[in-house]
Parts: sequence; structure tokens; C-alpha cells
Amino acid sequence: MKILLIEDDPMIGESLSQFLKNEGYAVNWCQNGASGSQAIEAEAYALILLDLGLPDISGLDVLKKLRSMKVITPVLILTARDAIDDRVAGLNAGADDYLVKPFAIVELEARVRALLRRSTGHTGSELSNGEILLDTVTKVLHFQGQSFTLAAREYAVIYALLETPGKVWSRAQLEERIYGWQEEVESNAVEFHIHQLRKKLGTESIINIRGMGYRVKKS
Amino acid sequence: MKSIHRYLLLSLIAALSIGTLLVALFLYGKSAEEINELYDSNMKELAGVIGTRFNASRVSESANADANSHLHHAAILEEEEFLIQVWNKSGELIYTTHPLIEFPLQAKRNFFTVNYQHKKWRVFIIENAHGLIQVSQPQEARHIYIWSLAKGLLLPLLLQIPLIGFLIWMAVGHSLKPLDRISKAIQSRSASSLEHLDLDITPKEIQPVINEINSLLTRLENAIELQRNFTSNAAHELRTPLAALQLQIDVLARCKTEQERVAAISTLQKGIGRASTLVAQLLTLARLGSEQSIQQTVIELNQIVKPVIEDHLDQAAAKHIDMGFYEMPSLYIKGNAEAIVIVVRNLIDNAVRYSVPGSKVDVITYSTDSSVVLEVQDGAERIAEAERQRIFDRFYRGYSSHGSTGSGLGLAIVKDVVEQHQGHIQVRSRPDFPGNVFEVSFPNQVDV
Repeated sequence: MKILLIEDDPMIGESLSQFLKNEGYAVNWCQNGASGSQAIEAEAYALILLDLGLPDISGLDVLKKLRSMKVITPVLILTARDAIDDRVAGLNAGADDYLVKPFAIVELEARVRALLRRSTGHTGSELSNGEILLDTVTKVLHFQGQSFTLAAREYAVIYALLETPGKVWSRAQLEERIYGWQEEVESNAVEFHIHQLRKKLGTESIINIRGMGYRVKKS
Repeated sequence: MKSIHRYLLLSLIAALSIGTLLVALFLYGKSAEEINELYDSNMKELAGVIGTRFNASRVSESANADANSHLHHAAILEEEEFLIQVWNKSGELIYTTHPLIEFPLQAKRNFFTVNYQHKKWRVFIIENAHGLIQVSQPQEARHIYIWSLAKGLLLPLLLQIPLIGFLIWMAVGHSLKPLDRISKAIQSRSASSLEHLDLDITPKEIQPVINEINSLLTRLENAIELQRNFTSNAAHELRTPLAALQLQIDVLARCKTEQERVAAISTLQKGIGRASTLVAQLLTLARLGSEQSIQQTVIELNQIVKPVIEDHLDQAAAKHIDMGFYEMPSLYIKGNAEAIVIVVRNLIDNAVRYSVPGSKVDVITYSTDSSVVLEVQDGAERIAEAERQRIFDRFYRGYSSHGSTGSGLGLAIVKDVVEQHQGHIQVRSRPDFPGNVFEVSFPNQVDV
């Protein structure tokens, strides 16, 4: 699950991307509006975290531009501006949610999760194909009466597979989804995470389609 | 406290009293003169009448009869009473109206005034073929009459003082009413209402005061507006470091390994350092705003610049920045040393912070006839033309400063201090130099 973070403050950006990575998200971090806009055009993201007070282009302009380009990625605004007018302006410009700084990280996490859920058409906090069930709040995987805690990247991989059960994900797609910029991706990283998951779920639950990639059973 | 009301009242009544007194004195003097003239002519007439009777070689019985009523008077006290004495040619006093008064025959003739027994006497003497007729009267007798006449005049004069005084009191009170109204209008205001005072209800004379008060209110409103903006900006700007702290603590709380924890604590410390710097800068700004021009002394600029450069040498060395100082000796400016240090420190700090590693930072001081100039040339990314004015705005963080954790207040503080010292700051670039040149000039204080 790849998140684009557009935030000019180095401390906030660093802590936030560190935190999101720890939670199993891939993060691309841009420190100004121009590079943020470029990143949006270059790649698809599951979610955009957008600061409004950017040094070059205002966050609102970035938002308006991406909406005019028909990009429907959910956008969560992070800002120090808390006036009602600002919130309304942000939401009217096409934001999906609005979080005022300073915020507790658990709230950010919950809102991120809610936005991701909504954008993928899920209603609850659980993803399942009838066989495997992933609790996206506790990040615990349930399978045949057993529960497993997952490492961040394992969670990211199984999340992708369970998001649309039956869909085949290529290695490259999974790599792009679970790794952000400036992250060294070892050549067999995806295979390693799949291997770790299969150790918990057995080889049958994650199916390898030769030449195409990986999928879970459709319910 | 001076009361206009009381002052006007007292001074007008004093003026009225003095005026009345002067009028009274004038009237007294004028009537005394008139009365003197009248009696003089009476005396002359009397002497003439006596003279014609004396013509018959002896003083007539009727004249004697006239004078009989005064036979026993030892002094003349009534205004219509005269001492009439007649001497014959051989110098014998042949007639006197007041035998008890031994007023001698005077040597002069016609009208004159003499002293007799410590009193002033008015005397008229005519001489005819048979002898001398002397008509005389003490001035005192006249004064008694003049005084009684004057008394009749003085009373109404004195009575006018309280009467006119009362009218003055009313008039003064009435004309000061608008002041009362204005003070009530001001009194009834709350501290937050700064609307202008109504000019229509006030008399012309107070309008300059009202105009001044109104313009003061405008200035006050602007100052409050500035202060309010500053506070709200400051509160906003505190959110960013606070948000960072919140995140850093959340990250710290979720650390799983000791290594992660150490890293998180170090970031958190940096975050706290940044918040403290911002608070310190906000305080500096607030203090600069309120304590204008405190303790201005004559300062030698190089003595301030040198230690600041020394403080930054390590930092510069760490980035392999070549630092240089070119001074012109004895540069004197007038100002607050502490505040000037803030200016120099901010500029040099920025230069070292934003210069790319391996570049050059030069600090140059020199003077012209009218000003003392400090130039800081850095090796940082050039500030775009469009940004050059905005970098001095409060809370503005330039595009080229991205990646830094600055508050956007440093240059705003510098500008405030420089302007308080009647100085000027600008940033420009030089074709022969890669970075930016910050140029601060202060008025030259040549005479020390």
C-alpha cells in the first residue's frame, strides 16, 4: 500500500514516513508542491497525505490540480490551519479528510485506514477471501482457527492480495506497492515475504501463477 | 490637577472685581474733581458777594446773621459751611464766621491750598479797595461729602460682582458641557471598542483634540491588529514543531528495539530544540516590539562581528566552508549592543547553515560618509528575485530554505532590529559571487 506524503517540514516528514513504514505502508515523501505534483503524475498511490503550507505551491493548488487531472486517490490534508473556512476550502477542493496539527498518530492511522477501506470498496476493518481473514486494525491474520501476527511487509503483501481476492499481482507490482523511494529492494524480497506468509498459511493459500505472479482464492 | 472650570471661574471673577475696583476709583476721582470745582466756584461767588457788601464799609448785619449759626463751631465739617474772614486795609480782622477758628490771613492770593494744624485747607482770597476777603474750607469737609456721594455709587458696583459672577458661572459651566459629554462617551467605552469619537457633537475648539484622539485610536487599532495577527501567526507556527514532537513521541512509544529507541530519542531532542528556538525567537520579537530604543550606546561594529564569527568557525569547518572576515577598523554605530548581536548572529548563522558544503562565506565591514555597512556573502543557493522581499516577512519559509527546520522568524527579527536602528537591509546577488549578499547599513556615528 503506497502512500505519498507531501510535507515540507523535515521533522514531521521524517517521523511520519518512519512511522508509516513501520506500519507496513510504502511511503514516498516529497518536500514541496512541485515534486509532489510530479510524483502524482508518475505513479499511482493508495493515499495522499498533503500539507497545505508548502513553500512553493500551496497544498490546495496541488489538490485542485490533481483533481482536475481526474486522479481519484483519497487525499488526507494535514495542516496547522484549523479555521472552519480552511477546512471547508480543503474539503471543497477535493480532499477526503482533514486533520489538524498537532495530531495523535493513532488518529492519523485510523483515518488512513478508513480512507483506504472506502477507496477499495470495503466497509469493515477486515479483509477476507472466506478462507483467510486479515484484521486491518490489529494487523492479525486469522486462518483455520489460528492467529498470526505479521511483520510490516508481510502485512503489506497479504493486504494487497486480499484487497481484491482472485486478482493476480506481479512481483513488480507488489514490489512497487510495498517499497517506497530510497528503499533498497533486494531481488528476491517479494518471494521472501511470500515464503514467510506460506509458512503460516501453508503453500495452498497463496497461489503462484507462473509467468504472472501471485493470488489468493476468490471467495 | 488643574480644573478649567475653576480656573475660568476664578480668573473671570477676579477680572470682574479688579475692573469694578478700577471703575470705582475712576468714578471717585472724577467726582472728587467735579465737586472740588463746584465748591471752588461756590467759594469764589461767596467771596464776591461778601466783597460787594463790604463795599458799604462794613460787613452787613445780614451777613452776620447768616454766620450766626456757626458762631460756636470749632471745626468745619459740613460741605456747605465756609470760613469767611474779612480784614480791613489796616490789617484788622473785622469779621469772621467762626470766631473759634483762628485761621490766619494767608500771604497768597486767589485759589490755593495750605496746611493748617495738620489739615489741608482750600483758600480763596480777593482784595478790594477796602480790604481782604478770605473764604476757606478744610478739604476734609469736602471729602466727607465726596465719600457719601461715592458710597451711593459703589453699592450697585459691588452688587454687580455676585450677579455677573453667577452669570459667568452659568456660562462657564455650559461651555464646558461638551467636555463632560466627551469624557462620559470615553468612560462608557470598553477597552475593545476603538471606534472614533463623534466630531459633530463637539465644539470647534475641542476638535483638534478629538482629531488627535481619533488618530491615536486608529494607530492603536493598527497596533492591536498587528499584535493580534502576530499572536495568531505565532500560535499557528507553534503547531508545526508541536506536531513534530507529538509524532516523535508516538514513534518513540512504539519502538521495539533499543537501537530504534536511541534514534527516536535523538530525533525527539532535536524537535524539542527546535520548539525552544521558535519560542525564544517569538519572545525576542515580542520584546523588540515593546522595548523600542532601549539603552542606545555607541558601539564598535567589528567588536560585535568578530566573536560571532568565532562562534561559527566549528560549524563552518564541519561543512568545509571557507570563512573570511574583511574589516575596516573603527566603525561606530549607535544602538543596542544586544540587538545588534542578534542581527549579526542571525545573518552569519544563516550563511553557514544554507551555504553548500565547500563554499565560501565572507563577512565584510566598511563605512561610507553616511553609513556603516555589514555585508555577509554566502555560498547558498541564490534567492530568487521574486522571493527577496518576502524572506523578511514573519513566518515566511523560502523555497530555497526547504529541508531546514527554521521558523521563518530569523530574518524578520533582523529586519525589525535594523529598522529600529534607522538602518536598512537588503539582499542581492553579485555577478562575481555565487551566493547571496545580505547588506545591512546603519547610520554612521563618526563623532565619538
